[in-house]
Amino acid sequence: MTTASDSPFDLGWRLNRTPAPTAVVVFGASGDLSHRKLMPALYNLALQQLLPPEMVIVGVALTPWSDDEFRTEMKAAISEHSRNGEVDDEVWHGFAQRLRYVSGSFDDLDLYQRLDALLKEADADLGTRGNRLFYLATAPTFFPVIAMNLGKVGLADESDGVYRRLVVEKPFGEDLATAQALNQELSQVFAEAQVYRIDHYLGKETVQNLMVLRFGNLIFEPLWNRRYVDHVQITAAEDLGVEGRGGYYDGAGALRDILQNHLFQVLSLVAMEPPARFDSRDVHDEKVKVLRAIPPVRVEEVAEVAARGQYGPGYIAGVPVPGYREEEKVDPNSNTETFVALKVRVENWRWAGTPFYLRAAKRLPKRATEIAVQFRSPPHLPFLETPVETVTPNLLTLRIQPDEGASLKFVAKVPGPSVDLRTVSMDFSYGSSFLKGSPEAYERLLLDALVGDSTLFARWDEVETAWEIVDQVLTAWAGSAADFPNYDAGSWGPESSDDLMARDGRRWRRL
Amino acid sequence: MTAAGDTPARRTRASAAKKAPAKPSASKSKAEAKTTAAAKPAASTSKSEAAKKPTATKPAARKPATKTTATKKPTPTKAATAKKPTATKSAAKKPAARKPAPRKARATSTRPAGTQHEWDGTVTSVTELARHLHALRVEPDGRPVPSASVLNLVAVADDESAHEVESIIESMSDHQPSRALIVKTVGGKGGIDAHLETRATVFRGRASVQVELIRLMLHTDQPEGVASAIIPLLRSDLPVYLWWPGVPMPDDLLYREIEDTVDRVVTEAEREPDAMVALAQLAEVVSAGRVSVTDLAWARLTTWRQLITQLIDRHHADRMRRGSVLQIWYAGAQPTPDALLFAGWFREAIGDKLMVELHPRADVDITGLVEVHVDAGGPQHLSIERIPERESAAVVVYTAGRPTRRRVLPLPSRSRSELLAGELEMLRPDVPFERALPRALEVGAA
Repeated sequence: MTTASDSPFDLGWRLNRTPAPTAVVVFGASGDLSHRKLMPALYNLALQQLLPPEMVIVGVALTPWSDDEFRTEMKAAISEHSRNGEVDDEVWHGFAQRLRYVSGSFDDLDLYQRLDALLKEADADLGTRGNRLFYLATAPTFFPVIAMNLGKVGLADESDGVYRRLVVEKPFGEDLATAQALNQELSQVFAEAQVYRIDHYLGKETVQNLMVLRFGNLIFEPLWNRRYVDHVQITAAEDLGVEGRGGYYDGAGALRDILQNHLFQVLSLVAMEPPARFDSRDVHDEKVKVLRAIPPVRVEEVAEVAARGQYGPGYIAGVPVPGYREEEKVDPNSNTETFVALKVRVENWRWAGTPFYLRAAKRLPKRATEIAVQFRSPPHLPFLETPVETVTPNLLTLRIQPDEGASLKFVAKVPGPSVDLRTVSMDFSYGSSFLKGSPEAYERLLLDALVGDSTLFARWDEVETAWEIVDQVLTAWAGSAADFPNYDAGSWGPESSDDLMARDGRRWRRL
Repeated sequence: MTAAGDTPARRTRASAAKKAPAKPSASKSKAEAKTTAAAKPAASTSKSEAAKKPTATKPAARKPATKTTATKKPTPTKAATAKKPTATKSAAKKPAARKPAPRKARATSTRPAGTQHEWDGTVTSVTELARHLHALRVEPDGRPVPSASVLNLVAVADDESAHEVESIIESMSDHQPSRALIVKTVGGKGGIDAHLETRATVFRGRASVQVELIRLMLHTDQPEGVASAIIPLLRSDLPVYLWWPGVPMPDDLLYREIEDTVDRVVTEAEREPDAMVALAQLAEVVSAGRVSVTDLAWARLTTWRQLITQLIDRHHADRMRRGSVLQIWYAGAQPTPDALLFAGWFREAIGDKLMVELHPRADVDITGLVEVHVDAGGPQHLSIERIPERESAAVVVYTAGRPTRRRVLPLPSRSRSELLAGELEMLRPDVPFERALPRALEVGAA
């Protein structure tokens, strides 16, 4: 398991473990993800001295670039997208020496033979010692093709004490059946322990802090159950539309794009039991137990527990924006949802009777991804003339983006001769409490994949169970035309979503 | 965490204290409060949020702080940027129209905007001072100004370093909410000249933090009393760091007094004239074992040490344990503390069969450690040379029978304030440092 550098020096005392020598191979290196996230993340890791000196990074794509053209392209991409701004020429020089490029079609076996030859050469020249991390930043249709071909040339074989890992981007399938088929194909070549399914939400500081907050403090956990928590809301709101991703998005929708993966991952961290250890197996085991406790939605209850919406024209920040069906590369009669809300029951001892409400949407008034734990009202208020209903119950909010942090609302007395109560808020903001800037999610996840820690990746049984929960929602929606568009861009979503909450006597938070 | 109302409009409101001491103190203290509404835009990524909250720019009127008898001209500080309010006759009751914070025009910069309050004056007691400080932390309606605090930082500065110490603390304060006390003693028979400054910052247009800077000049001939002036001004239940820009003499009365109240001491051997003397003094302070100690020269080595851990694995180290040579080049005429500590750390890891050679390098325009060669007592050689003005090093690994590998690897250089800030994130004793220190003295003496 441990492949991090075997150092005689005092690691842990300021000194970070760095990954063992390795080759990182990025499939889809000419694509958007590689430009905006992967290369900047690798460069930033290098800047922080977190990459091994013996390393090669190989880009693979169809675009016919030379090594130097690839380097020039990546330098521009890093300068534009890195959180550290323009590249430092000297550091870049060292980094660029390790960049290689191989061009070819993903279904052409010759590409993999050339890749294999190049990697063996790097083992000899750069000391990369046979370790390989393959990153699939391609369209999902290529995932099985690439895995299969890597297997054919022996690049998935770990028998010599080396590692061969496969990092898979989302989406992992389009529904339960396609996800199972994809997993079946990958598993013919790579064992589960070799597969790292990226869910970039798990790389975010607040998401990891959720575990620290819950299990590093005493004061929250005793209240973290059905007895004290009324309900939980998890929201992923974007003010953006599909921004040129219409082609992909129109085939996916908010349920597949955000809710099934990111929000279920967050939900499982909010609801899970304390793991004995913060290690990969224990954490995954606890997460999957939560997901298994959620009864899959049945077709006949879809209308009751789920709501879908699609935005029409409207205003964002005072600027008129088109409706979804008028967006580029979107079918003008599209039935794809850009808003999804789902009520989830976690049927276990801890949570029975405390619903979790999830919603994910585009073109809401603001961008905000937050977890809100709404506590129950106090059973009785001893203050005369202050009815219990008038007091806002405690609310713990964890902000995942844009500004990571947490806040807790509680009630305090307004100064004066009478007992008047007012809700106040304690606020903790990452940016202002710690000197360090938060690393990009991709930096953390790439580093974890390199050192072989899969805690923050999605295990297959989690992905499969999450698909099981929503599979019949997908079926129901695919089989019936919706009355779209049903909310204006810049509004808080369709009426049906408010109705979903109103049926339970609750309402969505205004973010 | 911050106790705060939840509307951003309230958070950004500038306020000088309303709850000034009820009775002006007899005659000794003179106070003046200034309020600055910073015009720096706060960052935000959400356009819609900015558009939604135009009310946040509403100017808020407030009162200046105290009405005490003037005995001393207030010291102007460079941090005060806003003009004093002008309109009214009564100096004590000038309402200051706060400059609207331009929330609508928020740029992508992460520099915080916010408000700032100051107070200068002379007091006879710390209690009085605490009252003035408290006054700066209360909104006009009586609510406390939101504040998030993670630590107390005490800096002991002489006249020469006071200004620099202060500017470093200021440069950190945007991100490290804390209470900083800069303490100086001058001879005298009592009385404290004080400057208080609190700054509420709006970070990314949302969270508000408050940073407090307290500058004290104690008129006393008895350094052993200094701690009694510091303790009441510390925020309770938070770790206390002492920054000593130099290395204290082990029997320094002032140091001994303060040491008992702090959790960690950060020294700077590099600011002492003789590195060996400084390290010897430091070793004595460390071995007294009363408090965990660290030095910025050691912190500066972290990036070097990180590089070494990546280049020397266990097999390599095992070979070195059978006999090897470490050559170190430092800038200047005398070995620098970081060069000595590096050698000490290396010797500690490898053992007594490591020969260490220290060489000066006069041809470079940098300070501290410049170049390191490791000869592993076999057909293997490693060299690391810092590239001046770059964040990187040229690394050459030679192994007989294999192609020589030359690479440029990152070697970030850290400023003094970055190093200090890094130290403020650690509380536990730094065992490798404590072990490297006597080894460094051993190497330096040889």
